[in-house]
Amino acid sequence: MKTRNQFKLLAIGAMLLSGLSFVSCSSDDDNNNSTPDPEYAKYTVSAGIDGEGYYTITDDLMSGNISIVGNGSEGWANLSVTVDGYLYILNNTEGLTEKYELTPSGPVFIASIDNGVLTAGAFFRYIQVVNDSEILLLNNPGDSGVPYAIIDLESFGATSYGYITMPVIDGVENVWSNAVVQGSNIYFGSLYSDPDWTQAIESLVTVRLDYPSMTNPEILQSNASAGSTAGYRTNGSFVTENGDIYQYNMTSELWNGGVTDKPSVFVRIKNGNYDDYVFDISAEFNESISIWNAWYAGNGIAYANIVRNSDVPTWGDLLQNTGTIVEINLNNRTVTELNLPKASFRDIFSLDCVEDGKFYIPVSVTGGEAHIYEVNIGGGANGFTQGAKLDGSNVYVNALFKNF
Amino acid sequence: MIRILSVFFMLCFSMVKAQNSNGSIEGIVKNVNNEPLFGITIILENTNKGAASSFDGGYIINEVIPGNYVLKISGIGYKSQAIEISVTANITITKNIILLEDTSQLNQVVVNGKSKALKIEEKGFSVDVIETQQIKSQNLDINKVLDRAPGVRVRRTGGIGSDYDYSLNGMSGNAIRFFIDGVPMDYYGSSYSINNIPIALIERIDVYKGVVPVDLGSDALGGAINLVTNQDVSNFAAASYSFGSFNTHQAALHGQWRTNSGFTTKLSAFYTYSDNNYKVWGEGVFYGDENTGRTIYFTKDNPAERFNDDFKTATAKFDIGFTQKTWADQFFITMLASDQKQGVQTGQTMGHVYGEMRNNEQVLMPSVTYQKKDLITEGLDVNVFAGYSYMEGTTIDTTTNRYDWRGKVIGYNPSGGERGRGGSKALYTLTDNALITRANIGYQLSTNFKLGFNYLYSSTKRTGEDPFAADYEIPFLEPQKVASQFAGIWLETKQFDERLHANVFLKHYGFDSSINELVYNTEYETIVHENTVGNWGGGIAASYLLNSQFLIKTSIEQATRLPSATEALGDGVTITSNPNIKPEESFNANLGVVLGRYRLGEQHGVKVGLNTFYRDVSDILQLDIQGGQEIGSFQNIRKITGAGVELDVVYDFFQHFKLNLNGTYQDLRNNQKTDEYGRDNILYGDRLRNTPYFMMNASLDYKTEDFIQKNSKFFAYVSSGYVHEFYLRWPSLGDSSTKSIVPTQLTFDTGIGYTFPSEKFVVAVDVSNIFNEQVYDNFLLQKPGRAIFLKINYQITQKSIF
Repeated sequence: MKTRNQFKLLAIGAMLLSGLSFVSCSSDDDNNNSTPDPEYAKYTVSAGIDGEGYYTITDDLMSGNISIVGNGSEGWANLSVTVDGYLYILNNTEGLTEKYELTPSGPVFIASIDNGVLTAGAFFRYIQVVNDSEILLLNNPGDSGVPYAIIDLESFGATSYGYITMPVIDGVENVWSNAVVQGSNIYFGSLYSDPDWTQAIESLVTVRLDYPSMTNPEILQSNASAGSTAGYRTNGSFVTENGDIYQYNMTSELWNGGVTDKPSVFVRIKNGNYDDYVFDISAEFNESISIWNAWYAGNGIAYANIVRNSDVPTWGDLLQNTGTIVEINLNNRTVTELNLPKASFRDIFSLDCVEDGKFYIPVSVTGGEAHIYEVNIGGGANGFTQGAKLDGSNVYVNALFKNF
Repeated sequence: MIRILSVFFMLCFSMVKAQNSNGSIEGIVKNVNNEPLFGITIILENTNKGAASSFDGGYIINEVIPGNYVLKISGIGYKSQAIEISVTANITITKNIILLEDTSQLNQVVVNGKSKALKIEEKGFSVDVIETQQIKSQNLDINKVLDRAPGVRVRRTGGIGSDYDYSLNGMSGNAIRFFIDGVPMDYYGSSYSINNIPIALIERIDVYKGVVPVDLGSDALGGAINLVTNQDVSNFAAASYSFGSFNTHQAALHGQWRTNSGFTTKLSAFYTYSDNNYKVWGEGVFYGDENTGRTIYFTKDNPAERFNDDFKTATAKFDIGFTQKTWADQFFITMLASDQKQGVQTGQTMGHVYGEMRNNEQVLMPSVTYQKKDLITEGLDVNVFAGYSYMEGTTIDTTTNRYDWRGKVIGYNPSGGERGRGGSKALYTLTDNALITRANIGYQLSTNFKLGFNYLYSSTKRTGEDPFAADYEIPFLEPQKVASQFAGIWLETKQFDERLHANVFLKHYGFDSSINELVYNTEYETIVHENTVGNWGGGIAASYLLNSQFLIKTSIEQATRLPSATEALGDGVTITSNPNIKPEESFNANLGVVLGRYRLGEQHGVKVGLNTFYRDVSDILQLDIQGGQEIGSFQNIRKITGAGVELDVVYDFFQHFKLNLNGTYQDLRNNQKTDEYGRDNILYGDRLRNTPYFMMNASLDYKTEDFIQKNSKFFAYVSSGYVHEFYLRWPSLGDSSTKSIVPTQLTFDTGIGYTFPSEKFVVAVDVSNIFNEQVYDNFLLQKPGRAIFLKINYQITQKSIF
């Protein structure tokens, strides 16, 4: 019976531990809205490996090692944002949007929202900061329309949610979209295509609605090219300092739309509609290329992941050293290919790390080393510095962002 | 030969004891089948003299003062005997004993000294033999019984009928093969599986770890579990019915009728129903506030109740043929039919709850069995099986409703379907037409050598149908086919007065497939790939009996596992085919000893089994999710290596109590230096994720006779299982305080059984998870809490079954 008693003690211990874990998961404690101290957690680095997600906090991107081995938190943070030191994560494993406070000992769970009660299906693909008081959750259009939820950060609750009905263009439906908010409007970069997603319409399309009411849809079209303007991992549109919206399109034959004969371009939405700005990126190369991701760094400069299409006959080739980073001056219309190591940049979901005229990007060389690189914005082909060492290409950094 | 060995030992003992003036008693204890029994207690009444029978059934009691005595013989599972005996000075009296089985003694899962167990153990394989005779009356399923065996871990996703996964010495999933009477169970369907078959229909369970004998002809890379049904030819009929928690009802009917002409019919039928509406709470079990979306978790005081988890299965197996004829020991034509229906409550975790999704399956399987010993010539044994299986499985996921843990519709998704992101309707019917043939031939070359050959061929043709199928599912709808062949030859020898047993074997595996691949050019096209793979394997198993209480055994095998139909062909819903799929390979080694039974005092004894193992597996198939597609295919990308140890101790005392303790520790590591894209793998050397590595079990049994009524039997047990917590994901990554764990599991079960004096009725009550612990085998998939079952067993005619 002594054995049994010991077992029982162990059982009670296990119960206590599990009980504590449930307490820590309690959803009703978010009264602590004091702003966390930014000193110890300036940046979040998120990584994926072997189907698992981890993320860690650091205050130094330029020296030493940033590793998830025995360090950081378990969980996917590739679909996440930070506002004032609070981390908001789309946890699609459990269908939740979670709020964490960044503390010296790591993120501390605050509360969660059940995505399933907001939109049947419990899945959002995109999360973005609208302003300091709200974030926006979105997914691609389904049969009900585009699922969305606007989350108020102070109360951490949904203030508006539901489905947006996208307009149809000549019988062709919107099959993929992602949006940016600018002023009192929201602009959905889109792919309008046949149901198989193999034949996009012959123009670039954006759907503009009133925000936050999500009403009064207007179709904006540009004949500069064709294909999706929604982006893939990252948003295909971004808002610049003066309120202009720049967009790129996806033309890879590995992506949807069947527009491989069309150029990859940047176009602009100004004052609520496309203007005549077209920057033909394809024309800057002497071979077929496609853009897979792009990130705005300020002052009219964006960085894009360019892939030469001949290097990527199959989907898996996008995970080899087939990606290159180019600096695109949207104002001067120049493209400068950086002499960074070639690597895969396909699965960088969130990259929002610009500070003091520097743009930071993780570079994970397949078969080689991985580092954070600090890029001098506008610094030319060699205007970069190798920073902190990462775990290696086996551990793929899928998000990097400033926390404050 | 056993007899010779025993006589040899007795002669040795006789030589020693002949040097004094006291007498001795010696002999061999056997069962009615003339098989020696190990661990039987022989006591000289009113003295402090006694002995326990050794491996060969032999016993000896020395230094007995001349006089008249009563020799009391008892063993768990056997009727006790009392024999008057007279001892004379300087004389050794030989008293051989035959014990009758006591079928009313209950719940002895592992009974030491059973002849079958001993025989199999002596062949050198790492094997546990579980005799079920004493547990048939209890409300225990096979999964639970095996889960308490050393080195075995059974993980279930929920209640009755839920998915299960076996782990034998760390190898799991499809690496473990299941057999019934030596025939692979893959083709019998989900109903007639180890998950559902009532233990009342099974006589014995053999659990082979790592190294599998040829006569279980298959590609069992990690081990094999063989369910052995009743092979007796006597007439009998028995029935049982149990009911209990969660509106669970289980009934079984089992019988055999044989005429003097040898015409024989057999029936095995069972039915199980459960609402599985047990309570769940905590992480993953929540609902959202309709206004803000904020999550509200269910708690232990306010739990949720599972509401779409009902399970119903019914199977009937009817055999008609002849037994004990000159031309056949057994010849049967068999028809098996089964029907199973169940709700699907959750996705991969309780974070996703389903309200209407269902799975159905029907199976029809005719087969023919022929067995004959000494066919044509003495020593030639033949065992042939041929069967055809038609299986139709349907996934019903067509609802547009979405549910939460309140069982309430919280939304409407016009895309339909509850699975996956965003959902898509599925009404997928998968149809398998399978053929399986097996021939097992053994020939006794000489007294000490036996040669055997086994050949197994199986093929599966799979087609699908789904009115909601997307284009990418088209390949599943068109016929695909896999076929596998296994051929093995073995040579067994017994040397040094049968102290040494050795079995050397060679195996060949063949795999042929015709697999569809979806290719998109200007439109989706199906390309058919033909693929043929062959592999050789082999190994040796040996044991050596150093003395009657010390058996050392080892087994080594280079093993292969061929891809399953689903791994190669896909499942038509979320798994695509892989035309280039290869077999898994593994080097397996076991080394162990069996010590005892050692007598401790007059009425105590202990037996200890210790086994160590090593595994080195490559080309392990893993479901690889393709980016952005939310579907995946099985790829050969894993390597694992590691070792472990298991200890099994059985302590019996006062003839009424038996204490069994066992524990397993295993250390299996990721042995993959580079990943599938050629990148250095920082996970190299890491302990396997989501894999239990330390487990213990304990059980205490008590039995007595003449309880309340004369000639009645009473049995009681309490058992517990402990599984140490383990990480869901790779242990080396992330801060340990943030990692998801499958928590430590400690459960206690108990039960009593009462056999009425007529021995026709047995009534049993079982309580599982006594303390109503919240337990998990898998991450965020809570298993049932406390459950109580009452079972009534009735033996209708003749042979005692329960």
